[in-house]
Formats: sequence, C-alpha cells, structure tokens
Amino acid sequence: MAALAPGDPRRLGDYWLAGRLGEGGQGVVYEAYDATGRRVAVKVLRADDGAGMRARFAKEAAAARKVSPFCTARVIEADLDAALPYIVSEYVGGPSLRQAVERDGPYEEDRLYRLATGVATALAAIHQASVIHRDLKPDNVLIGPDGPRVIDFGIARTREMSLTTTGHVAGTPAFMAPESVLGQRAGPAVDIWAWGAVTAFAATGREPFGGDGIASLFHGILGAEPDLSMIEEPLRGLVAAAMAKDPRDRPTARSLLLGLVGGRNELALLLAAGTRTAELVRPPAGTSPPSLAALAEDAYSGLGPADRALVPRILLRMVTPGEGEDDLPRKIHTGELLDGVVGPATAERVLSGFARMDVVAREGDAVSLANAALPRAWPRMREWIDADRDGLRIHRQLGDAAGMWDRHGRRPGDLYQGTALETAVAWAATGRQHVTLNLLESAFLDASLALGRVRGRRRRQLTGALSALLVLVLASAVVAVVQGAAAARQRDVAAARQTAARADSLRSADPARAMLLSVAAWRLAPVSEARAALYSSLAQREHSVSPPPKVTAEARFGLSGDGRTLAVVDQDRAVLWDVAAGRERGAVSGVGRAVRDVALSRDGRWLAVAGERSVRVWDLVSRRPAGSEIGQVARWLDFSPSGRSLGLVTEGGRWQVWDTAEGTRMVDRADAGVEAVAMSYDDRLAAPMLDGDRFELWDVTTGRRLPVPGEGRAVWVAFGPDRRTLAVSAGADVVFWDLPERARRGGRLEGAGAVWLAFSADGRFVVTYDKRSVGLWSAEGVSLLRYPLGDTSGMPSARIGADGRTLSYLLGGGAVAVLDVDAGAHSLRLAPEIQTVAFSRDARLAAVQTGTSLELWDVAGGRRLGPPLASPAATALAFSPDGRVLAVGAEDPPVLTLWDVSRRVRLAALPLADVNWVGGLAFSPDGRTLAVSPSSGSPEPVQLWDVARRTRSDVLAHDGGDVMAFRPDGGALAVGGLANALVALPRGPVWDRPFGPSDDGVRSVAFSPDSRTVATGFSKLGVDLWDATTRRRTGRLAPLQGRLDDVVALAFSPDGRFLATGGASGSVRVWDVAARLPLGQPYTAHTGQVTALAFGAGGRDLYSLGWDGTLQRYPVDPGRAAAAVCARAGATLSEDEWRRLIPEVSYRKVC
Amino acid sequence: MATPHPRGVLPEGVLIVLRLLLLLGLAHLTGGRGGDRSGGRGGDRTDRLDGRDRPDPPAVEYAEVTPDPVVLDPDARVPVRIDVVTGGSGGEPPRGVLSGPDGWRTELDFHRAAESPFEEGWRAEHVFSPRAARGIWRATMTLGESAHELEFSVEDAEERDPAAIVDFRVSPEQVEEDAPITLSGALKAERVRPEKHRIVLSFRQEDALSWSEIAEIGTDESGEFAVTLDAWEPGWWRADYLGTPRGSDGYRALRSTRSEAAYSMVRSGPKMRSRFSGYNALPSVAGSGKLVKHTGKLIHETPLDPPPGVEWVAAPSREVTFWFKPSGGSWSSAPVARATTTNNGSFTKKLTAARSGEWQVRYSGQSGDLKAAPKTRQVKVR
Repeated sequence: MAALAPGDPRRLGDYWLAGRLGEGGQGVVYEAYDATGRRVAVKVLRADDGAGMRARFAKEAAAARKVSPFCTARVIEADLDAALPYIVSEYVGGPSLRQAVERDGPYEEDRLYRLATGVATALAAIHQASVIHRDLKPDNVLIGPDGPRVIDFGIARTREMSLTTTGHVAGTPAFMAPESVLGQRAGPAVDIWAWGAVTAFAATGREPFGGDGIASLFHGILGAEPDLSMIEEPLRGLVAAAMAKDPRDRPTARSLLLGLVGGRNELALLLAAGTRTAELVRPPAGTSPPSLAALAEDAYSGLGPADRALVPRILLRMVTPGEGEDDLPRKIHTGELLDGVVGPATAERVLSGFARMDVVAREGDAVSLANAALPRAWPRMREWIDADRDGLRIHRQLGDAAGMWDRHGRRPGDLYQGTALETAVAWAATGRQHVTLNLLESAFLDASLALGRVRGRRRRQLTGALSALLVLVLASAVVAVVQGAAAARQRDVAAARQTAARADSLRSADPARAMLLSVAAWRLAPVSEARAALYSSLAQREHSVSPPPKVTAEARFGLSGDGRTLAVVDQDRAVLWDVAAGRERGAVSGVGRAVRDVALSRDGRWLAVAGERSVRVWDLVSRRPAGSEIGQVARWLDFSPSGRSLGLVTEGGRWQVWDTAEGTRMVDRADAGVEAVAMSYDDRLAAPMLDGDRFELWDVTTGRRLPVPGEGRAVWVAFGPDRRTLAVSAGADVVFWDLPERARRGGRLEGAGAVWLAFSADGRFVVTYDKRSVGLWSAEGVSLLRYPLGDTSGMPSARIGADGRTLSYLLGGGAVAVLDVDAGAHSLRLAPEIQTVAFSRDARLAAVQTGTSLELWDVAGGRRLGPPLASPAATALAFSPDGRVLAVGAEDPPVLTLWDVSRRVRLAALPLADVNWVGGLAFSPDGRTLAVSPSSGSPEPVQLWDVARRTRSDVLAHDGGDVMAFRPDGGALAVGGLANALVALPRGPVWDRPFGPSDDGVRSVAFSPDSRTVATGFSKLGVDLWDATTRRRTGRLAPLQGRLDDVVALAFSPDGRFLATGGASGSVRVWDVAARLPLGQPYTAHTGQVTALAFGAGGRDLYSLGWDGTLQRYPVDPGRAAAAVCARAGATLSEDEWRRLIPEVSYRKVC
Repeated sequence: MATPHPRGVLPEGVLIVLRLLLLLGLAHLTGGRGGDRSGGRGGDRTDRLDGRDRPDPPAVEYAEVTPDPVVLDPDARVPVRIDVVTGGSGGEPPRGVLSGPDGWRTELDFHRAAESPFEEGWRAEHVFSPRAARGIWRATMTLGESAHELEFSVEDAEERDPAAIVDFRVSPEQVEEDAPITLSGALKAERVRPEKHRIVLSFRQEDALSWSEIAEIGTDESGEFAVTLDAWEPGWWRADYLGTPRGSDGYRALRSTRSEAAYSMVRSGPKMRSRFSGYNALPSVAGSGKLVKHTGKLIHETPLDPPPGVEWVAAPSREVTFWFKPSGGSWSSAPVARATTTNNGSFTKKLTAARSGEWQVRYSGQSGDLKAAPKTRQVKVR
C-alpha cells in the first residue's frame, strides 16, 4: 500500500483513508477503514471528471451490485452525488493476478486450472446477472483468501445497455477482444476472450500479444494466433476457443465452465462446483498486504507484558481527540512520553517496535502515527481512545498549558487555577483510563495546586477525597506500584468492554452466545457497556440461530411443525437435523439430486422431495419411499396438518391432493391460476388459493366444490385444528369463519396484512407473515409480537412453539432462528385497551381507565385490586406521593374526584366550572396541592387545588398541558405541550417555553430526584436535559444510530442515575444520565404508544403501561438482569468457549 | 387554502332543495355517548395497529348513489348502486333501508366491495321498476351508533335537462408537494347556458375510499370553471354539479352530474402525511342551542424507519379548526372554532348547534405535516 499523496482526502463519508491501493484512468482506489475498523476499498472518481464519468461511475456501482458477491468485491456503499463520488467495496486481501505472477512466476498445471475455473465461475456469475465486465485483465483479478475475485466494473455494462449502445473503444488494449479493437458492439464474448487472454497470461507471465506499440498490438489481436503451448489440454482447447477471432465462435461462460468442471447441466451446480474449485486458489503466502490493524497488533504483541501495558499511554499522546470520532494525529517529542514509569529506554523499546512495522513514524526526536487512519483501523486503539475521549481533551489542554508554563520559565501566572485546575485534578485523580501525566504535567499540576493552597482557594475547589487521590497520582513512584496492582483490574475492565462489544456484534448472528457474553462481560467488570449489553440481551427478540449441517448451495430445507426438526435434502441425501442439539437424527439416501423443493410433514414423519420431473414421498421412520413416484413437476407442495395428505400445485397449472402413505391421488383439478392449497386437519377439505386473491373450498372425500364463506376473497387461508374454523386473510385483516355455521366468528387480526398464515397445533395462536415481518397473534386477535425480519429468504416457514412463547423460522441458508415472544420483559395484559393510566410513585399501584371501567392494580403482584371504582370515565389520573389518594379527572360533567385508595371510597367530588374536561393532573411532592390542567378544546390556565380543604387555591398565569411535573422540592411546576412552561411556586415567576420551541412541543416531562435536572421528551428529537435552576440545556439523549421514537413517557430511577423513556411506537429504553448514552437496545414491548413508566422501589425494576393494555416489567438491577439473561439463555459459557472468546482473562463462572 | 364561494348564484330556498340531491356529509340519527362500545359488535375488537391506539368508533364516512338522479325508463328497469364507506366497522356491514316518497321501504343488502388501510367500502344494489314512485328517495345507513342519510331524486327523463361536466382535469398532472394545481372543466347542457352554477370539488386520497369536499367554485358565462389549490397528496379529484330544481321559474331545470375522476400525481417531499381518524359530532340530532361534542384524533406518519405496525402515530399539540355549512348554504369563511390536539392526538370541542348543516374538521398542516383531508359530519337541529 502506498501512502496517501498530498491532496488526497483523509476521510470520505464515514471512511478514514489509510493509503493508496492503486490508480487508474477513472480515479484512485484507497485502502480505508470504517467506524468499526472494518477494512474496505474506496474508489474515488477523479475530481476533474465531468458528468459523463460520474454516470459511468454510477453504472459501475450498479453493475457490481448486480453480481453475486462471492466472485467479486461486494459493494458496501456508493455516494455518487458527493463532491468526490466514491464507491466503497469489500477489501479483498490478496494481490492481483499480475502481482502474483510477477512475484511468484507463472501458474502451472493444477494451479492454473483452478485459477482458470475460478475466473470462469466469476464470469458465469457476472453474465448470469446480465452484466458484461469489458475490462477483464490480470490487474482486475484479485487472488483473495477464498479464491479469485473479479473486480473493477469501471466500464461494465449491463447486457440491455450493450444491445442499444454501440461500443466505443474501451478496455485495456492487451486484453481487448478483436471486436473491441474494431470498435464494434461488445457483447459478453469480449469477457470470454479476456478470460482466455488472462489464462494465457497466468500460464506464461506475458501478455498474449505483444509488440512495439499499439498498432502492432492491435495487429496481433486481429490477426495472430496466441502462443498457448505452455497450457496443457484440456485447458488449452478451451483457451483457444475463448480466443476465437469471431465472437460467435467463442463459448459462453457457462459452457466454458461446463468444460472446466464437467458434468451436470445446471448453472447453479456449476457455480457451486466452480466456487469450490476456486477456493483452492490461495494467494501465495505473505503476498497479501497486512492491514494496519494487523501491523499494529503484531508490533503490540511483539512487546513484553510490561511494555504492552504502557502502549496506550504512549500512543494516546499521539492523538488529538476530535468532536465525534474525527481524531487527528499529533506529532510529539519523545521527551513528552517520560512520566516516571516510562523512561527513555522503555519509550525507545516500544516506539521502535511500532516504527519497525511502520505504524509510527520518527523524524529525529519527533514521533507521530504513521497513518492517520490507525485509530479507526486498530480496534484496540479505538477502544483506548473511546474510553478516554473526554479525558484526552482535558489532557491535551493540560499538556499544552504545562508546555507553555515550562517554555516561559515556569512562572506562577501560567499555572492552572479555578475551574481549569479543578477539572484537570478531578480527571487526573479519578477519570483517567489509559493516559498518565508525564513528569512535566505532574510538576505543572503540583505547582498549580501549591499555588492554590497559598491562595487559600483550594478548600472550596477540591474535595478532600479528590486531593488525597491526587497525592497518589502525583507521586510517580507510587503510581508505578498502583499500576502493578491495578493492571489486573484494568485488564478486566478492558476485557469486559471488549466482551460486551462482541456480544452486541453477535445479536442477530448468534443471539444465544450474545446473551452469555453479555453476562460474562458483567461478571468481568461492572462497566456500563456490560450493563448495556445485559439490557440488550433482555431486549433482543432473537433467542437463538442454529446453523444447519454443512451443505452445498443446492440444499433444500423443510421445518417440522414444532420447529425443532429440520429436513435437509442435499446431494442425494436427506438428513433429519435436531435444530437445538445441532446434530443429525437420521438420514435417508437416494432421495435424488437437482431438488426443486421439499416439504416436511408437521410431525416430521413424511418428507416430500420435488425433483426436476417427479415428486417422491419418503417415510422417515422406515426410511423408505411411501407409495410410488408421483410423475408431476411441482411448483408448490406441502403436507396437510396431519401429514396424511400432500397438496401439490403442478407446473401445468393443476392442483392435486395425494394420500401420503398410499401414494394415491384423491383430487386432481386444472386451474391455471392456482398458487397453493390449504388442507384441513381432518384431511376432508381442501382450499386451493388462486391468483387474483381468490380461493375455493372442496370436499376431498366427495370431490365436490363447496360454497365459500364470505365472497371467496383471500390472499391466504388456513384451517383451524378445531375442524370448524377457517382463517382468511383478505385485505389488511385476517378474519375467522365457522365453516359448519357458515358464519363469522369472533376475533380479527387487524392490520396483519398476511400473505401467509398458520395456526398453532392447539389453535390458540396464529402466525402471520406480511413479506416484511412475522406476527404472532392470539386466536382472539390480540397482537403478541410483530417482528421485522432481516432475512426473509427462508419464509414463509414460521412455526409456533409450545404455549405460543416462541416462533421458529428458516433463514436463507437453512439456519433456524428462534424468537422469544416475551423477550426480557414480563408481560401482563390488563385490558384490551387503555384510556388513561397512572402509576403510584414507587410503581406499587396502577390506576387504569379501561374502555369501560376504572381499576386499581397491584403492579408487582400483577393482580387487580377489587372491583372497579364507581367513578365516571377518567380523562386524567394521579396518585398522591404516599399512594393513599387517587385523583380522577373526568368530563361530562367536568369534575375532579378524590378517592381513598385503600378504603376505595370517594373522598370528594369537585365540579370544575367553565371547562370541558381535565387533561392533566399532578400532585405536589408533599401531597397537599393538586395541579389540574383543564381544557375546553385547548388547554386552559393551570389550577392549583388544596387537597385537604378541597378548594381551588390558585390559578396560574399559564395554560396547562397533558403532561405536568412538580419539582421534587416543590419549588416549581413544569408544564409540557407546545406552550411549555416552568412555573416557580408559590406565586413565583412563569418562564414561557423554557424548553425551547419545537414542532410538537414537550411530549413528556420529569424532574430528577435531586431536583437539579428537568428532562423533556420530544418527538423525533430525543430527550433534553435542563438545569432546573438556570434553565440551561445541559445535555441531550439521542441514540447513536437508528431513529428515536417520539418520547411520550419519562421516569428517573430513584437514584437519578438512569432515565427511562417510552415511545409512541411502544419502545422502552433506559439511559445512563451522566454518560448521556442508551443502556442497551430498546425493548419493543408494546404494540401501541407507551402511556406511563415508573421505577419500582429501589429502582430494581422498571414498569411500563401501554395503550395496548399490557403492563411490562424489566429488571434494571444488573444482578437481576444477569439472572434473567441466564434464565433466558438456559445455558452457560463453557470453559472452552470462554478460552476461545475471551482469551485475555482466565475463566469465570457465567451463569 | 381559501375556499372560493359562488356569489349570488341561486336563492337560498333553491339551495335547500338542492341539498336533497347530493350530500357528502353524514347524519347521525342516533345520539348518545360513546361510552358503551360493545353495541352489536361483540368483544372481538382489539388494539388496532398503525398507531391508532384504540379502534375508531364505527361510523359511516361517506355514501353516494349512482346514478343520481335516477331517471326512470318506461320500458326497462333501472339498476341503482349505493356505495357506502365505513370506518372502524370491524368488518361488519352497515345496515341500510331504502324508502320512497310513497312510504315504500326495503332493506339494503350491503356487500363488501373495497378496502383501504382506514376504511371499508360496501355496495348495495336496487332496481327501480318503471312504476317506482317519483320524488325524493332516502337511503338510511346505520353502523353501530352512527347513521347516515342519503337523499336522491327519482324522476322521469323529461323532468329536467341532462347536464355534464366535461374536460375535467388537474394540471399540471405531476407536481411537488405543496405546489399549486389547477382544477378546471366545463359544465355543459344542451338548452341552457350553464352560467354561474356552483361546482363542488372533492378529493380522495390514493389510499382512501371516501371523498372529501374541498372547494366550491362558480362557472363562468360559458360554463367553464377553474380553481387553483395547493396539492398535498396524490389522489383523485372530482367535480360535482348539484343541478337545479324542478319548477324554478324562467330556467330549464338541470339534472345533477358528476365529472370523471382525475388523478393528481404529487411527488412526496419531506413532509409527513396526516389523517383524521374517528371524527364524530354527537348528538347528531340536537335541540337548538344545545352543545354538540366534536371528538376525533389526528395522526401523522412517523418519519424514517418505523417499526412494523406503527407507521402512523399521534400528532400532538396541533391546531384543528371547525367549519360549518348550513343546509343549502356555503362553508363559513372563517373557522367557527379551534381546538388543540392532546398528547395522544385527540381533540374534543363542544360547539353550540344553532342550525342544521354539515360540520367539517380541518387540519391545514404545520411543523412538517401535510394537511389532512377534512372530515365531514352532519348535525340536525330540531
């Protein structure tokens, strides 16, 4: 890799450029790293190129995206509208074919054959995607670790384009086909020619046609025969055919590949075979340039353990942390590194180790990072920086101040004092992770403190504890001792962070391991990253993803009714696979090759295998075929729920029902529009589903058509196990018909939009699939889960587990994913719908206005307390702080009632004059005052009521809102809404809109328990934190990525460390208030807006209530969260797994 | 958007009769509060997705009869279609009764005919024999507590002259969000100069079934009309002419007519679409001077990448306005009242019922929202 040149960009989008990989006519290709340290290749269009080039560049991105990623470098991102348009693609670690040949000489025999096969496989895949590469040459073939990859679609065209556009001369002359030289239209055959020329180049190390200059080269291409004597048959014949002068005489990529790998007549098989062959084309050892991370890691691991511990403090000095993640390299003098532990000899050892690997650059006494992308590229360094980011800024200022102090003759006037001193000391004593103070900085801080003492200010500036700690920091010798003792802890903290990050990276690929790793991280060190990972483990819906056995690309899969058994049909063999245990449970051979589709009966006994010409049913108990071969080409097939019948839709547009065991045909009807057939549990009824969203109903035993319920409109239908019910998906909803009664029965899956659905075996649940997400419903129509699928290629295949607690489904490659329906949160349905709710302060009680009644609930016990209160329907509710009184606002007539909660009697009914209803209620912290926000269509001024006297004591000079909160010290009332306000009490000033103007106003408001902070929730913007006294904004909580739900509910934990937010789409998440960071992924627990949030006593649990009528509980205490995660995982991390996943630290018990 | 009004076109009395010909409103013939939701629908309704946290109350949103007027044929039976759009019906068809001026009654049998994310479409058919009573017929549809009355004329061919709206179009055909579009067309009649007649323009969003009355405009001396509005969503526009009544002196009476629907393509921009859901004005028959309670909810699309099922969320702190059109009159030139939506997007406003007529709730869009198609309900004053 060449270094970046002057004028090269340092960063493009989210990518940090590290060096140049190559340069071509169109632009420059750089090696770069994304924010996660992933190594990528970034191709940048030349700045001075016009719109034509830009369009071509866009075509390149489009062409590369069309092609199967296995044979090219996958396009990750393309920004074609940027000032410097660029394409980001996968970094293929390996030399180009030209470099490989130059370094190790020509390819011979088997190596040559495999290379030729690999490139031909890539070409076949490229042509299959209707793309013509047009510039295949040794420089565009990379010898990657898993076989050759064809890259650079710079002048590629899709086949449609090539038919309408006459070609202009494009390509690299030496590998140009004759028709390209002549300027004729360039079809796929130009790539075949180039394949021949590239193969000849690999075999000889020379370009096939040479000469002095372009005229002689073109003459050779048009007239001369290439010298292929170095190539053995049968490859020679294929290369000769490929280099036929007339493009019509050249083979296609497919027949070329066929000639190379021989055998079967199926391109998919060919590609699979070609890929396998090509995988053996490995780059020569040592030719793949190592990544920056690998270089740095090599230098790091080359150091002794003691030196390794000093690396962070040395390298972090060479970084100036930027805003966000845009860190800049910084040149330092080696003297700056000396801190009492790092002496000149140590510094020299460490620096020279990194300098040898070109990771740091030295110029005399100065030293700097050799590559600005290193902090991005090397995960270890990124972690160090991220851990110390805020501290590094303080440190840089401290270093600069100390330097100036030193250069100016160490004058007292240049010393730190006041806030700067306090900040620096606080950081130096408690906030540091990896950075240490060097001798100069220590002296500077020491002198600053000494001066502070003289000035007598120190007592106010520093706490005793802090200055005591500082003694340790400033005494270098002691630091060295502490360093030794703290090393293990530091290592654990680092390992915990790393393990937490690993857990998060495995969430979708290996959710079960992600759960265990999050617990392991917490066991290592109680860092907030580990806590976040624990919460994410509770929030993740995915329970496990179990891979199938090793299979080829042509394997087909079928999942049993309980999702526990997977049938895998591959290479003439059917395997029954135990999904959870990950082992084979049985196998049958001779089931055939070239399998189009398979179906497994729900009980796992019968397997139907649809081949190219026929369908065969296998009895997996006896391992023999059942009945005779069914001579039909199946377009679709599935068993009836009992497995006794097999439904088929043939290519010829017929639908049939076959007796599974007997192999006899029971129904055979022609209907060109048939797409699938649903069958009843008793095998008596069949419902063919036809195009145009119609279905029919047939009696299989009599062969008669029956009248259909409704109007016969359905996208999909499913029979219920009760043998009466038919679920019909038409339009947005799924409805149920009682077939004997010919009438609709209760229940309706509203908004399911199902294109497929199935009942659970007991009929209590229904699973739906809408092409985007999978849904689980109770048969009564309650939505239990709606989960967007990242991979729908194995759908529809969802299976409901026992009790409707899990859902299993197939992923594209045959892996089986299992979702937990009640992930993490403990869920309880209180009512079908909720109008308004309130929690008491410690979430002991909840008052719930359902569609019909006002109920009191014991939250922790999850039970209703007695019959409903005899109250008119509430529009607003609030508990007094002691939980003894419930205030109920109502309309028609507008009245405020107060209830004794324990005796369940009404204490007072207070009519509200001149308003329509009560929109919001809030009790003061002492319980004596009730703030009432009345409304007459729009909010009216806030009224304060004296609870004991039952009289209105005041009307504030500001309109109220649905959301209001008293400051815990009682000194102020915050009002939400568009016209938000902070009102000082009693009778203090009113600040209008202190929380800023915003589109939707303040949606939720809460005070921290110490009264110092107000949190306001907004639509789309997250949460703002404000100083409750100065009304200045002190921070904002917003997720690092993804969207933030409209924040409609807020609650601080009792210790004020955490803030819970509830969203309009039903998500709940917990934030670390000091760090301003979300703790883990959000819980998606409610299917409607969150209405109220509250922490339980001691902050150990969090509760939420939603419009969907459910109450959810989330463990917040990390010990409980870890126990809950362990319970969910149902396993632990073995010592072996620990060693493999967390090698840095010795084994600890996880679950 | 300003609603254009025809000036001095027809005397008020004429318009009262005209009102009988086609109404785009809704009449609640039954009153009462929405407290008891269980009426007739069992307990099968559950939480509705799409951010409508709870089911909309069932209501007839819109109804029309085709053809209107029904022109009887002395030699053949004339089939008539009655299309009804309901919201929150939970899959239950509306009940309908058709009654003639002679006291003849029959039940209408509604079949589901269409579906949209927010509505269901129903259709019933009736065949008029040559002997059917001439005069104003009435179709009354009920769903839960909600009722809707539709009146239309059954008449002989010679009674009024046919009229037609021709060349109705929207230009430009494709515009950006919030850009102006012009709706134009011409009213044609054979023996009458269709000058200074009132044309009502209605809009139907792409994903909706019911039509909302948006504007009124008068024709010029040659029968042509044109009005410019701001486009906000792709959908269909339609022009209705309400006809002139029988027996109006000095003129030949004209039948009502309706244009073809014209599609207006609006490219979506950064703004979010918004919708009213569950608007009601109850009681729909009120004593003069009594309060009528207007309730409903405003929702809007949530931006970026919403989780499945919650594409629509409550639009809080939005100002909605209420407009009134007395029977046979025109829409008020300024809002009669305003309300602010709560944190849940719902609004409630009590307004005095002084005259019978139609009420409309409108939202003109703010802070990143597009306007919502207005919703109309009818209130009768005893």
